[in-house]
Amino acid sequence: MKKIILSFILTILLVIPVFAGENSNFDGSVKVTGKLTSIDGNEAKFNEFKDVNDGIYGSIKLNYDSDSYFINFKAYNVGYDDQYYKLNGGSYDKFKYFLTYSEIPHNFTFKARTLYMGVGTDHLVYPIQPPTTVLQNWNEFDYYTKRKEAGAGFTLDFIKPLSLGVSYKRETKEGILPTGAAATTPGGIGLELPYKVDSMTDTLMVNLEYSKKPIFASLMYQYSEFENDVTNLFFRNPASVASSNQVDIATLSPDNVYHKISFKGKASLPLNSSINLNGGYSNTKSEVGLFPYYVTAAGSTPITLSDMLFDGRVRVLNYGVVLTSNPVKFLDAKVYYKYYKKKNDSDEIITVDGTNTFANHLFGYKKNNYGVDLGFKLPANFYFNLAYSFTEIDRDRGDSPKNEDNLYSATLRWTGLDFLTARIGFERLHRDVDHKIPTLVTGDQAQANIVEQYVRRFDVARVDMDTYKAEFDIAPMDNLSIGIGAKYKKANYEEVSLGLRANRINEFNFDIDYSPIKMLKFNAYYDYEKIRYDQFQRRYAALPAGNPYPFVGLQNGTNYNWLAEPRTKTYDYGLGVDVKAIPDKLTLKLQHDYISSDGFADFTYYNNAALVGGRNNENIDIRNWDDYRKTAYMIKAIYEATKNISCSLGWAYERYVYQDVQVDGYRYVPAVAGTNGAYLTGFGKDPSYTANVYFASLTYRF
Amino acid sequence: MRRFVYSGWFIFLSMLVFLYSNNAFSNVSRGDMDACKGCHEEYYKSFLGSVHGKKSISGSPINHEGCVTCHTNGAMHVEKGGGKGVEVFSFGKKVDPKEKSAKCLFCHKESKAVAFWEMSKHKSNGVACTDCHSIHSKSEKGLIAKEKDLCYSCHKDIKMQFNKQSHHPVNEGKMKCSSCHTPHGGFGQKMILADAVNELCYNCHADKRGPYMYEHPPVEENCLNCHSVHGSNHNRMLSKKQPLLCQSCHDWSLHPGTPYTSFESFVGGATSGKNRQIGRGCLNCHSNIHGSNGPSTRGLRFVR
Repeated sequence: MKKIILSFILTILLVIPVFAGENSNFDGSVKVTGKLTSIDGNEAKFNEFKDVNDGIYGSIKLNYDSDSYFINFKAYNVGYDDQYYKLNGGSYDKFKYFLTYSEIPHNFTFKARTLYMGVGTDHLVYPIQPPTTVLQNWNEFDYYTKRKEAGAGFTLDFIKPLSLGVSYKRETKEGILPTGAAATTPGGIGLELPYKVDSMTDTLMVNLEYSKKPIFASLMYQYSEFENDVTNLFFRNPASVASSNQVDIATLSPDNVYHKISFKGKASLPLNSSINLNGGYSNTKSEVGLFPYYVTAAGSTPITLSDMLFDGRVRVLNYGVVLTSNPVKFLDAKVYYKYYKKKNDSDEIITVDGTNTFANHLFGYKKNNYGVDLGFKLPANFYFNLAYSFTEIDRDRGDSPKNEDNLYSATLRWTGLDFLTARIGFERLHRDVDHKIPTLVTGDQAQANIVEQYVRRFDVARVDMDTYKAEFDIAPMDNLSIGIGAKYKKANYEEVSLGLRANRINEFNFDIDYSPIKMLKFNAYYDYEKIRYDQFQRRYAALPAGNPYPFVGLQNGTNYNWLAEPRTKTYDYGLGVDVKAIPDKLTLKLQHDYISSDGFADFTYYNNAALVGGRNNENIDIRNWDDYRKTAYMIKAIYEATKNISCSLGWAYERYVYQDVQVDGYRYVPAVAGTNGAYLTGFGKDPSYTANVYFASLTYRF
Repeated sequence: MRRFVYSGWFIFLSMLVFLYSNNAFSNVSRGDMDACKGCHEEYYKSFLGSVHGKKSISGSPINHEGCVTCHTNGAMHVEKGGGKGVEVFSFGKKVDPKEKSAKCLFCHKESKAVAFWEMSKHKSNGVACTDCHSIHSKSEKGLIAKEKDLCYSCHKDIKMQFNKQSHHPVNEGKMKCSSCHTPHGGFGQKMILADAVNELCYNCHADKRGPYMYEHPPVEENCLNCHSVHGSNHNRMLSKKQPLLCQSCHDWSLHPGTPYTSFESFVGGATSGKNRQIGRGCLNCHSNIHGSNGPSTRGLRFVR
């Protein structure tokens, strides 16, 4: 596919001179950049989504344009892991086409280690039980993924008022990612297992449109097929598999096929109004062969399944109608109704595992949403927007089968001064919930009957969520603009005894652009964000006797209440200067950016008997809670040697320092048994780095 | 070797560019707009270079009244000696955004790109077409700045989210805001390019589409229950850090309800429970949190 696309691109470029004649314009640029890098520390984090290394980077832009035709071609980072090519063109008002090819790396951790052999396959093995904990004998590999996407498409406009668009893309994804497994369950050691990513997704879209006042209509078909070459990972389990011939299994993403047909349309009505309709129906299918056993220390444990093949099938139906109207100059109105239903028609599989018999729970939901949005143009350059939305969700979920969301919002905008735009806004979400005690698929229903009285899950819990916003855009002079914004958001989950009870978010943003003289331009920004959560939990050693309310029930060393209040303060700032040192010849650019996040998780045990092993309510707090700082500098000089040739020279510096409770003091095998035990691979370990990049480039424009 | 082959392609293309560039400069068409050109030559030239200056497009301004198509009242403007906004529609800051957009929509009324503009949050928030587009621009879509910078110029809080350590690669240029949002309005919430959040996410993350035998309902209902997709301080763009994220729903006997504190770290003094926090936290064992086809309770609990 990639070869076909590149060959086609070249052919198109060769054809350009045929068109290039009178009334035509051919321009573009070729840029060659040399980079020298020095990366100290974690290269995977520095190059998380890019490929910056020592070498020569090429980019090219070509644009051909005549009265009737156009062709554009772009290529960036030719030959590198993040290369990108796009060719698009067409004839104005008649047809358009495009071809693309791109690669996107996502690097996670380089030089990870595992006790297993066979990384990059679907079988992980090791020769001797128990596995060695001598890291030097482990195998090294990289955690990364790479997406390669090739696509093509065209749109035919010459059949106006009809238009037909067809596009196709193929995305392949390769790499190695971690999965995990509880080596014994419940409890026991954790296993970090590197699995091979090798999948392909084909997507076809066909879009037929009709557009002639007063009607617009669009009919679309989408087909997407995901094929995974590695749907299971077979591995030897150090905790439960004594024999090297017996393997444990972790399941991975199954293949799936997705079809969707959808419609969008609009009809213009009198009184500057329109009615807008949409609808869609989709069908997603998967088919998975199931394993009739699982593996324990005792060997393979057989289970009985009602069907050895799981047919997954999810159907979605949605439609909506939106009426917009601007009947008089001072009023904008929008009234809408939307319906969305996800129906799960997958197989219900009955599992018989010893004395335990249960079936998988099939989840689906139905959402009804309607609302109104009114905008009023008021005297003295005020504009007032008022909106209300009601959403009702019915879902196949035991704890919260129904939600009702009432969302109110109001925004006031003022543009009374030439140099100032001010906005203030308020939004309130009030969610009512029909809470129930769920019937467990399997497990201890008696425990559920007690605990679930107090648990409310934040995604479906009753909540009052308020957001206040203010924004000011100020431009007192042509060469000065200032933006100031602030937001405060609070959510109170009032019925929650156990779970997330509240959160608060404060945000502040400031930015300024100033150009005191023509040859000098400054820009600066500062952002601040503070997030705080309040989460109350209870630790149960076992099913409590009777029905103790968590706040007054028995507390002791193994049954106690506790509170977590994580707080994060994040701020960033930047300063940039552009100096035209020699007008039209030499420009200097300086940029400094900084971001810092400081997290702190404050824990409180509500029973002193639980504070054992040297714990107290001060030293249990976590101070390294996703703390990081990134400092970046960039200096660049651009010299316009001639009208067509420019060169630049520069240096970029980036330093990233990260500390976190989950990786600080990292050990691959913290213990070989018990719940302190794990065989890890180093995923996410030591992401800090310092990088210097020196670059020089030469650009030829024509 | 691969880079050598690509470099070969690159050099070949570069040579083509040099060969073709000699005959490249244009003789542009001229409309009857000399009166405007006299004072506004820069704008005149840029207009002719833009898509709005194409004679082959039947509806383009050059085939109508040229500059006056959008700016109106040219004769009065000239008569009064010119000046910014004098007897002419100038698209300046003082002008009502709806009036500015109406100028564009007069011709683009049948354009599919803006078919649902009336439903757009941008419209109701007073954004005009010219806040993002210049009809004089030759650039793709006529944007007045790079797409992300343009969006960030108003959505400053979102800019900050993307600066955080875990984010989608928008700042790296691998995605655009328009990869997920339609700025011109549509039926999706937050102007997303899909009828539901999960449908949008599955376009790139098709491996999460399932359908699985054992599903995790909050995952199936809305990816945003756990992920802050513009950016997060926590890995994998999680909206809260685990294990607390998981525990905010899962309080139960023994390990789901146990606090994991500084003692349950690599360097902490806990004698048990560390593997619920260190490394990938809950995912050390419950790795198939997006769904599982594993056997028996191993699948049900997402540990296989």
